[in-house]
Amino acid sequence: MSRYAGSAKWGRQMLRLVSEAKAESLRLTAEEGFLLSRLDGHTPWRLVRDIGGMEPEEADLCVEGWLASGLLEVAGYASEMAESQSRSPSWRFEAVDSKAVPRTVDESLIDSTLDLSQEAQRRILEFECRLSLPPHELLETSPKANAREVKKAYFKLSREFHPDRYFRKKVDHFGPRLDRIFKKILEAHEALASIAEGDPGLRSPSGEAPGADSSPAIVEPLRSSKLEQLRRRMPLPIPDSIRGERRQKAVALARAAERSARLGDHQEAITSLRVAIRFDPSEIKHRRALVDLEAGQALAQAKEWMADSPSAFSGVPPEALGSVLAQLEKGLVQSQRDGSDYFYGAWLALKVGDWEKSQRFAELALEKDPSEARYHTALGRAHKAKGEIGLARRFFQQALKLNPNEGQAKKSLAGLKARGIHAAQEVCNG
Amino acid sequence: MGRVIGIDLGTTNSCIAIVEDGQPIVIPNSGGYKTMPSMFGISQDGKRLVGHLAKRQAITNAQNTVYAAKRLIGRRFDSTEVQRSIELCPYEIVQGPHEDARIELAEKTFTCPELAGITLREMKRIAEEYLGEPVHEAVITCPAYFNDAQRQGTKDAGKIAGLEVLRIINEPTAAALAYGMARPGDQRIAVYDLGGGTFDVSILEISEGVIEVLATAGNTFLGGEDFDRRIVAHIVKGFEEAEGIDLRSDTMALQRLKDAAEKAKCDLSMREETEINLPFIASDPEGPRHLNFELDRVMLERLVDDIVQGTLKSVEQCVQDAGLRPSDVDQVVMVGGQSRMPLVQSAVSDYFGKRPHKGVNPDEVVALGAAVQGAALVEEGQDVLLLDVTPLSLGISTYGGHFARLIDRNTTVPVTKAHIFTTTRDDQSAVKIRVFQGESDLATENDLLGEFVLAGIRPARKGEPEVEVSFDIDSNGIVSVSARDLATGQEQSITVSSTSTLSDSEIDQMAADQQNYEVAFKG
Repeated sequence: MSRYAGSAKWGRQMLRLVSEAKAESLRLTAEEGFLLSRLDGHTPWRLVRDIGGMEPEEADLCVEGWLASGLLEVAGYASEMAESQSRSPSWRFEAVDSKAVPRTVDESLIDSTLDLSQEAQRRILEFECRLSLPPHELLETSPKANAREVKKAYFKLSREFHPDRYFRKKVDHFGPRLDRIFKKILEAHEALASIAEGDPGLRSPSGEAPGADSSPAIVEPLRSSKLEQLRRRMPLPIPDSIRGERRQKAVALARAAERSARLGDHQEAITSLRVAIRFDPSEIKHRRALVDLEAGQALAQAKEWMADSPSAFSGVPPEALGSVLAQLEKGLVQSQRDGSDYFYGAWLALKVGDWEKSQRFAELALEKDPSEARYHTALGRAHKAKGEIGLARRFFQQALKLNPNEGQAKKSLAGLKARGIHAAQEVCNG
Repeated sequence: MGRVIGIDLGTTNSCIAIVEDGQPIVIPNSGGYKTMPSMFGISQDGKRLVGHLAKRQAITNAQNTVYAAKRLIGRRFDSTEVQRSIELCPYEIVQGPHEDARIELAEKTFTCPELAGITLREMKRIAEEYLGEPVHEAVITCPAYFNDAQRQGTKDAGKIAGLEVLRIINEPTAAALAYGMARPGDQRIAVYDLGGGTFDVSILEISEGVIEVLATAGNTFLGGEDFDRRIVAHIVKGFEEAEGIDLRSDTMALQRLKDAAEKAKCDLSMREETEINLPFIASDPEGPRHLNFELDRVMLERLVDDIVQGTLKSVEQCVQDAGLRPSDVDQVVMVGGQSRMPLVQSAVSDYFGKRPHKGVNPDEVVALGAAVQGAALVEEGQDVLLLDVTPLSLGISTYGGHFARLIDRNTTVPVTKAHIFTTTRDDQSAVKIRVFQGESDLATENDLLGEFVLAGIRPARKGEPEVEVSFDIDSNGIVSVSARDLATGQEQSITVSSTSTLSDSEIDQMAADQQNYEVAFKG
């Protein structure tokens, strides 16, 4: 868990785009764009960071980067009360960020019949008001505290608030309160400890270089993705331990995907890869693998459609055609493939109505294998669609020369002739 | 209110302790023994025998004497562990109605919690005799790697014995509690626990009475008995070569050999060589045969070296999980009888670069720690606090059979963690939440704790609905899982604490049964 999850104030901030911001000028990934679109100025960040297309820690990083670059501003803070009581969208606003002033304790909650001294009860109620403070303030340590000081503070508060300290005691409503307090203390400690862990100097005072064996992230490839750039600007990066773990998970998932793909379960493989990318968005290999798989899937779909109906693709909704084409296209851009892949691309593009693209794909297919009659037909169809009748005729004839039985070419040529006559008649009539 | 006893329910031996005047002490039985064999037998004339009495007749009555039943508790009959035990144990292991493993003795079938309950009841009796007052509550220990079903089985055993089990705590943690309670200052300690039937290692941090578990690793199916078995196999082979007689099918001979091997092993911890003498071990037409075998420490160490090296792998894993290096550990505490072996001692001290702590008795320290925790919970003025952890990761299965961890193992409890999940099909109206426990990334390789369905999700494209799944573990280790549709506020939840294979009425019946026997004994 990142430090932010532990920091309630960070989670309560409600973000919005600065009015003069030009979001279009940024080069955002789909996930980043989605995240940005969710920042409406009245939903607390805590709720938004979990539902975006990326992992919460990455979302934190993005937002911190945008805040730093002046793209976002804090519109206000959701009230802690609203959040803990109902979590309904009716947020109360706090005009200014008041440093979470300890509210006065409601004396009516103090009950002298309990197995808890009145001072202890007051302390619990007071501490409960502090739960929204950032981790180090909650633990009553300085922001620069080292791992040992953090642990000391955590132990000290645990000794005071751990539910086991009140085992079988009559504590009434203080029971759930203690539970809540201890969980918050635990979260704060976890958040601070994971930061301290990233700083090896804090953990091992004995000198010699530690971590070289345990931290695979020391040697990073030179490639610097957007995420990496963001990360470099961040004062507090995601701890290596978390990153390493997620990277490993991603690798395991990618391996599972490979296995599924080999067994023919492409849908499963695609799902695994998508999850892998969520775990390690900076790894190009997973993204590439996904694009390849999706392209393969798209190709299979296109083939199925073509086999299904002799009139090729009729009855397939245009959106479906478009999305299949987009997937195939991505794969074709990414890696070299054989002629028939481009051929299917050309057909799909034609059916979608993108004739230029159709022509380009057909040409690429022909480049791969000029002796394939079907490719000539496809190119002819593209030209025909563009109204370049002469060119179209040439390619259809070429196709028929290569394969006299090429039905599509025959039909298209016949169609052309009919249309030619029709056009001629019109001219006459005119 | 009565006192809380601490019980180390071991695979081979059990031990009880209590805190008196602020100090934990072991309660000896009337014979002066501080530990008791975890054995139960039914004699030829139908008498029920527990502990030392059971052990004494084990040789002549191997089929009707149970040892190491702890290895079977909470396990499914078809699990590899149970199947392995079937091959190794002289008593009959059968399949119970809940797919659990049960043991048949003198034509009566016993569940594993029932057998453990018999040992616990005996411990309770010893404690009551010593204290002169009834005892109702206990803290019981179990190996760190016990899963939910095994812990539940142990709790059931307590109930059957008429004890309310306040907590189940991990054996290495208990050892650290007993070790750490009297020592001021901050320390990181490693507990190496090689008992009769299980192996655990834990790294803990202690500071002014607060004990935090940093990491745990181990193997529930490795222990001193594996050492014994190596010796037995070695001797059987030697005997076969010398005399041409195979002892493997002779249960009585094997039981004698097993006892002799265990004794020889213990001898070799003190001496360089020992002799195993078993007269009349077998006979053939040429007359009776005697077994006379010399075993030295070098040979023993050669026989078991790979087992010891295997434990070090777990140790290394544990140190790594704790984010430490071996030299960061301030103190090494050795627990379990098998840790007395010089080879084990030297392997562990080589690894950590320091000699293990000498001040604790490895057979007793776990029970002492359980007693400390019992007192910390119910008695005033105790300044000990255990920040206990959950032993195994918890999560749900997601699309494609992946296991999505929500709570990692070794997370301090009580704790709540939540994550958002979504649908995998368009217009999916319900999601099935299947709760698993374990460390595999494949859900089905983990243990299923429970499942429920959240229905009434509004029709939407796949990936759009948002279902928040939240896991909560309270300080008693009770796990509850809830799922909430963020769009409708619809919520479903379950509590997955009681995956007991026995129903309450069955447990009550067994408890009543035992009470009858106890009365019959006294009468």
